[in-house]
Amino acid sequence: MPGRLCAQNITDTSNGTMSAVISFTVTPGTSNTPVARTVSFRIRCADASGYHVAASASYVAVPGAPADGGATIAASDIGVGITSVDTSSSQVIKPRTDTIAYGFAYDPGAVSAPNGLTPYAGRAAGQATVADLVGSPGTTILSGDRIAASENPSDPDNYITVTVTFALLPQYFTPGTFTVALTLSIMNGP
Amino acid sequence: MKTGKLFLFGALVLMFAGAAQAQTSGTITITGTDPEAFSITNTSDATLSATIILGTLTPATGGTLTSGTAQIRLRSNKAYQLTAQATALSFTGAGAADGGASIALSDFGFGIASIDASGANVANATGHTVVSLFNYDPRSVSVTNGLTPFVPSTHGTLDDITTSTQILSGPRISAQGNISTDNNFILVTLAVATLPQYFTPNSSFSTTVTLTIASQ
Repeated sequence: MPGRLCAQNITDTSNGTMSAVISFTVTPGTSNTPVARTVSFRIRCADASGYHVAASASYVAVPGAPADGGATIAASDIGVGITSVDTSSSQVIKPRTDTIAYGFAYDPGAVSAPNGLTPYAGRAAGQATVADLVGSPGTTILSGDRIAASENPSDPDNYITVTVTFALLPQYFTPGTFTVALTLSIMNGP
Repeated sequence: MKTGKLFLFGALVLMFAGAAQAQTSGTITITGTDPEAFSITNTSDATLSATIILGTLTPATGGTLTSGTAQIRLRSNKAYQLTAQATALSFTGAGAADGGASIALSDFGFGIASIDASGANVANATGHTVVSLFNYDPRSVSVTNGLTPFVPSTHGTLDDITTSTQILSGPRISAQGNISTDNNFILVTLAVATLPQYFTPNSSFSTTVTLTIASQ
């Protein structure tokens, strides 16, 4: 059991605990380009069976005024995709295959929003949103081969850097706030 | 016996040391704020800066009013009010009044001629209420005896908005979408009309009406 726990690691880009916070202010404008935020993290895996990264999310919106016939921002308004998988560290085993799960292999910040409305069609259509992670906890978003011989977080060259992009198009949503709590887990095997 | 206890202790230490190194999960917290949002634009969704040119007001027979309109798009994510304020008339080349009347703000009827709330992403198609004084089309007022037809307290004029004055209010306008969305606004047509008369001559006159949308 201790060996299995040690076989993978997920950290921030300083090799510390991954606990990222990003924020959006949803002020509508004339642009049809979503506002994007990115989070990068490092994954390590020394298990011969490889790894997979799973994601789960919860979503809460707190209106500050009545919806009054309009829409309140929803989890499906926030696109999520993996926009970079950097395997260039010297101890990363190559050749290798890392696979972004279908629906997450896109940049939600680069999707054009015709007519100023949310442009994401959902994971099944190749454009995942936070709603897909809320509805299917433990969704695998990335998997691949063993990364390096060691998973030690103090090793400077044994990790893959993954960048996840979140994006949304500011609109005339009901005034208020919203919070997404997303958990990423790395585990053995494909 | 003593040796066995030591071995067990050592094994526990190794197990916990191994578990402490593992960090197999991480969190990302996304927070966001949807602020109250209101906008006024022209019909191209750009900054509103319309000019109504009434031209040369030459008196004639009959009761034909000279008029103009401006269309604006309003958007909001909550209940709103629209206010208007006109500056004093500014003249260039004004002649002597010589006992006669000069054109005044009260000679310009001002009203909301129509509101179109038919867009698919309009949150509330009804409930947009024009303040009664401005709830008319000044272009359709009948002229009697060739004089200004606008009746104080019945027909709103620019003289009624010399201070910031509410002219319209209503519920949330936009269900969603942004300022480029083509169906999440109400289209308001503002009309101005005046009757050309033997007012004191001038080269030109102008006034600026400032419209402001805000939360109720």
